Amino acid sequence: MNQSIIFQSNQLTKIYGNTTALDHVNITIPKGSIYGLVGNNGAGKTTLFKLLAGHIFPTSGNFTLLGAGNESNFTALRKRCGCIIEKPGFFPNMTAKQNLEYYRIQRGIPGKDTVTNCLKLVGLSEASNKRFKAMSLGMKQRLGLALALIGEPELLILDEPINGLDPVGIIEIRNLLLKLNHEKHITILISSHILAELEHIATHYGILSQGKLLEETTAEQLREKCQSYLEVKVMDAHKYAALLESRLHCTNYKILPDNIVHIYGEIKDISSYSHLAVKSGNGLLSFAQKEAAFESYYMELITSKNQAMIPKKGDV
Amino acid sequence: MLNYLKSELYRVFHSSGLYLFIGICSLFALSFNCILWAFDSTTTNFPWATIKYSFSTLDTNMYVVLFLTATLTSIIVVDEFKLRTLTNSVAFGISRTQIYISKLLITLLACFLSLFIIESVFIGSGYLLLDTDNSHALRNLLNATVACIPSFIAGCTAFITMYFISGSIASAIWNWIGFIVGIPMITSVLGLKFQFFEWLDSWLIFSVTASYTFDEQSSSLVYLWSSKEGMLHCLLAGFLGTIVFLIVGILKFRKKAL
Repeated sequence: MNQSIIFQSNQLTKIYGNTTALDHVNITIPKGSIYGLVGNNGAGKTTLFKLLAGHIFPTSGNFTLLGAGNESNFTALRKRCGCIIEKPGFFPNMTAKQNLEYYRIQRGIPGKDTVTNCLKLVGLSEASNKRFKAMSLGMKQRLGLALALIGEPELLILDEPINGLDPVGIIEIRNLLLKLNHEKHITILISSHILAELEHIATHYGILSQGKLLEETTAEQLREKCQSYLEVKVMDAHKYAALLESRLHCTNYKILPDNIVHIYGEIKDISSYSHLAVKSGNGLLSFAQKEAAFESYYMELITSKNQAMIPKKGDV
Repeated sequence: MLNYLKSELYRVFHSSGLYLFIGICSLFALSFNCILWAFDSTTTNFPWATIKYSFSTLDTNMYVVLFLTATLTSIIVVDEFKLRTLTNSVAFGISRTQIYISKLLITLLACFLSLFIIESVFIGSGYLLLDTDNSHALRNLLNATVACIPSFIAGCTAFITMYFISGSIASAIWNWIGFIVGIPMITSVLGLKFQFFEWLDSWLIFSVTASYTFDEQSSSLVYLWSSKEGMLHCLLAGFLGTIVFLIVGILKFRKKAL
């Protein structure tokens, strides 16, 4: 077993009735990484987390967790994981402290100070005697994070952990996760709808759509893909593209709808591109230099892959 | 599993449900004897203010204790599926089998504790307030309790099984009523005509807890557990019921998606 990989799935599939929630997914999470799992609602993120946590069972395929691949070993190995999946569950009439104490005893974690320390870590010291049902959404989310951290896990599985948090809370949790990763080398698998937030912390990404893993990449590789480009809007994009190739020897471009052309790569003389459109009588409608954000890359990826997945007329 | 048991003990004793249940049932038991005593104090020749009458009210209605067992089980188990607290335990690596067995053990502990306290209040208040004639009332009540304990255990196990299969307290309650009460009602009627159903009915826990007849010759109640064979039958019926529900519960819950 490769000790540098904390989780690896092999053709992992989960089908509910007629719906394929996860479709032959192969994910690899390196040890010590912060793996951002990205996808729309219904992409399969929570399904993957539930499979990892043992809440549900795969239809086919398998995975290794912390180096072991047998379901019989997972029971013991899951003790080395901490997770928040969907809304964290606690007993409504017990206080934050009592709830955590319940789980501390359950997990056989020694030291009654553990609960106090965990609450302090997530900023809930002052609310320790508040009943769970009286807590705000943000406080409940923090308590869920405290629960995930209580056993000093090796792998943290966090499904939308910043839901319900205010901006200050988001920054606090982000800094906490980074600290845990850097100082305690905890591997973190995190999903979030807020791509900009993931960009701050993730070292690796997995992009899911309709149950399929579209892409798996490192943060560095993603930065290279999200390169800056020239956006040129003309009257006839195809005519402009032909001129790009013949006059400027540029082949690194993409034609988009509405006669928009994106030009990538190293651009030494920007003005030559605008002059090309004007001099050819193509009609330059707009011209701008842009930085591609993760969001744009993600949307483009999702759109193009989903279009590829739609069967065309005449396809068998 | 020991840690899970300890955590459940912590939860149960830090929640109000068990205390409220014991308090309310004890109050009811005490009130019953107090009312008999009050009636006796204000009426001449009131014949029912005796422990014989008081205790026989319970030992002829042991199925009420069966219902109370199911009620207490629903309080102890808590709707963990709805609260999503069960998922935390599973995610931590506690197996479904361990969860099932632990829940059952804790619930049985709570049930035994409640039974002891409530019955002590009932018996104690009876001896304090009522006429303690030289009858076998206490012995009958204790015999009834011993005979029905396996049925109570089976009733508790049945509820837990139905809860873990259905995933909801409400469904478990209806399923429990259907299985534990509804089926014996059907078998007892069919048993009037068909011997097989009469035999089957005699092994169902609800029928066991509600089985007694009145002997006109001796003017006394005759319970199923009055004889050694009958007592053995009661113990065995409860034991078999427990085993059946335990096996079904564990096997079904092991495969349940949360």
